[in-house]
Amino acid sequence: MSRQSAQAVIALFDSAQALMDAIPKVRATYHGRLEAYTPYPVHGIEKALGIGKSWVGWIVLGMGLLGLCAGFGLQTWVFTTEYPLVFGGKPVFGWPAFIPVTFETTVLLSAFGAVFGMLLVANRYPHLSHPLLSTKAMKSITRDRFALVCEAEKDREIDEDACREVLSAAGGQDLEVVYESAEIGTGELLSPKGVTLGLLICVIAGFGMKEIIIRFPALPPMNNMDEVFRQDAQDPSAFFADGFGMRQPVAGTVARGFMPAVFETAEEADGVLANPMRMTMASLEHGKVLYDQHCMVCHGALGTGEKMMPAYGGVPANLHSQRLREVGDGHLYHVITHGKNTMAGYGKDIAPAERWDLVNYLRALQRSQDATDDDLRLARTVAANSHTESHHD
Amino acid sequence: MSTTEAQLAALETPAITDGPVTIGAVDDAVLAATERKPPFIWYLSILVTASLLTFGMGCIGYSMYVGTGVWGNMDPVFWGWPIVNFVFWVGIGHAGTLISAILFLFRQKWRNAIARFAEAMTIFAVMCAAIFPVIHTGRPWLAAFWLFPYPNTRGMWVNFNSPLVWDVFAVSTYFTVSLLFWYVGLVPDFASVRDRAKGVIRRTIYGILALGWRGSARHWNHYEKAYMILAGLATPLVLSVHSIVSFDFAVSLLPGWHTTIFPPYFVAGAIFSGFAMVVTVLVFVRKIMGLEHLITLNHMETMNKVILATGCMVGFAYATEFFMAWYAGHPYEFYIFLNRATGPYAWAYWTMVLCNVISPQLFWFKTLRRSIPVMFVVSIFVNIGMWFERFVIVATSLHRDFLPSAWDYYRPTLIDVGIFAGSFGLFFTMVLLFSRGLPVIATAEVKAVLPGTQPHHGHGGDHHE
Repeated sequence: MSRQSAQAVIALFDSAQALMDAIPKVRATYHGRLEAYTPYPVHGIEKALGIGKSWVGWIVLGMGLLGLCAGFGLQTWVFTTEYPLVFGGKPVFGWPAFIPVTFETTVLLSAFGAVFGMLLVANRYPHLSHPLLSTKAMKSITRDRFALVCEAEKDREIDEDACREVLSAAGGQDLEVVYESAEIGTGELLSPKGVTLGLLICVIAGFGMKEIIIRFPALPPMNNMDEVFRQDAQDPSAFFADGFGMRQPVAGTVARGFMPAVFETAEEADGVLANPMRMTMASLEHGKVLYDQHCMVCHGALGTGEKMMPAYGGVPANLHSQRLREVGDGHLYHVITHGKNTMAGYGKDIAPAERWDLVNYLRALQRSQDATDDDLRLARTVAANSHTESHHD
Repeated sequence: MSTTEAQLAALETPAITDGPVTIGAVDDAVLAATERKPPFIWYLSILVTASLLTFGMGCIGYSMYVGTGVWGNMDPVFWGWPIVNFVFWVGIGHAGTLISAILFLFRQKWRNAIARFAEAMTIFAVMCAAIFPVIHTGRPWLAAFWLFPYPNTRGMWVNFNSPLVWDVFAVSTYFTVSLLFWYVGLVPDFASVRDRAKGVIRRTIYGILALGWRGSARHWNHYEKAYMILAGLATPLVLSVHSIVSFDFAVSLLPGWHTTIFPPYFVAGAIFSGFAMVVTVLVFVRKIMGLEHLITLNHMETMNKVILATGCMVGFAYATEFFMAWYAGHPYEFYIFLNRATGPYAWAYWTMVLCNVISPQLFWFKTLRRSIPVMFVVSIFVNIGMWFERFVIVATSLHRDFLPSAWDYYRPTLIDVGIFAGSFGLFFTMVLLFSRGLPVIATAEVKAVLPGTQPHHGHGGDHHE
């Protein structure tokens, strides 16, 4: 290296008073960039050096306003737009309740503005490689001495001899010159030795962690009941002798609403099985619905069995036959439940109580197609009073 | 004329140090503690506190394994020791911010010697406080994430009208701002430790923490501005935190909780308990670490004055509460207060009154205020009393509700006690580690207020900005 360019000349002083006395003397003759370094804040130094007032406060103001708007805006948006919900009869936009959270977000962002604005924006930290950090002077600056430093402007150098002269004339001691090639502050870490050591630690840590993970497989302390010990219905069971996981109900168990048939045939049920369902208007109406759904397709709307099925070769019973008009309710119920000849049973599709509704409707249907004169007179009376009738029942 | 000057001199804040101290000697006294081997008593202490912490962790682990049913919280007292301990620890934290922020704004120079320690205690106390709401959720490994970011699987929003939500915002903001305030104060001291360091590793670690701080006048200019703004922000913040904690109770409609005196009463109590804890810890620290000339008897005496003042405020609040319960003519309200003083928890109530109202009255006497054994005993009394205050508020208001058939007597379990003991273990372990690894006194701040360290010409030169 032919000639090192001087970047800064440091002079040390023993007290803040000595430093303050020296600053005007130096500034009188030296017009380059002058900076003071002190172990603690010295009052009035910013005026002596001609440093303006700190503008960090504006960052804090901006961040504080941001926090204020963000906090209040979030709560307003949530409560009025995103998820309006009335709590305790209070208005949706109950802004007094938003004050605590707004206050906290304002303070939080203001504090971020003060700390990060000062450290990162205003003072440009972190700056671990600043040339001054590796000087001898820095060791006493952070302890008990005060430095006045002539610093070079960016990409320029200073007149080393002139600076030395000015600073010693002002009473500065232990003059030190910082050259461009000065070692950076934490250079030890970035030396080949430091980097090698760092890499070695990473490799050892990496392999060590791999071994630990292999040797000690994951033992989740809590898996949120992701895995539970239970017998699913279709799983085999080693516990039960028959090998089935699913068990049969206890013999003789009757499920609610599924009373098994007691009679083998319709003839047995006839006259013995009593109709528990009163013949009410509601029962008849429900019976008609069921008839239209399940029966009408074969037996026809009037129960004559004449329309549809004969075309396909089927012979559904005529519900108005002498025999079917004379059988008891139990007989009809049994046939609906279990079917007869080619007719399927409807026990699985229609609940027992509904089957009785259907029986009631069949009785009404039979009477409607085979009415006597008395029935017609009765029907007229009923129709005339239908209003009151329907209200009675 | 000379008498007036003497009187004015007597009104001055106490001397910063005992005897003359040079600014380099501050570093030697404070920073050297991070370099030398700690004394035997340090190892002994951390053995005890770490054991307590381990025991507490075991109790927390057992609670997690078996379920929170192992605690004493049971119908009708569903807010038992966990909320008591939470409020207790958050309160302890308040002294730190008061000393570092409010006394800073009032230009109380003596605060510089104790501010760092008090701020550290704030941070550790809030960490201890955070244990209780987090484990209260039952599945803390999820709760750590419930606070932020909020896993919003139900598509619902939190109720911003609820004090419990305010609490989350207040305590987490308080912790963050305290931590930042603390760190900003530490940066110049980290630089001092860095430049004293002998070894590379030490220099590197503290160098990174110092961010490259080099004490430039331009940087100090911004630094002081930011520090003052932070103090200004922390002051209303600290008042808001315990106010909002008190809203947890005051916003409910329960007799004994539903009272407007709670926010100021809680804040006064928090400062009271926090100063007591600072005194308890500093009595040992200044002795063991040889910092008696920096943390002087004058500083301790001033803190005792604050304890006396806030103790009287707390006593006044107790009286006001009782008076209002009677004056309001609300039978349930008055019954709850009568029940506090004469019911099954009367022993707790009178312990509280004895510790919080009676014991600080000793500090009216200067000799007692300056006696280390007396201030230690009183500070312990105040700590006990302030814990009982929260216990009385929580337990007595809940254990007898509107239906006498539901009345019961709340008892904590051994697990409750263990977790609380563990929180003390955490607190003192952190304090010990802190006193070992970080500068326990803000050296740059102390240097700035030592006699003769500020230039005299120009404007005043005495004010600290």
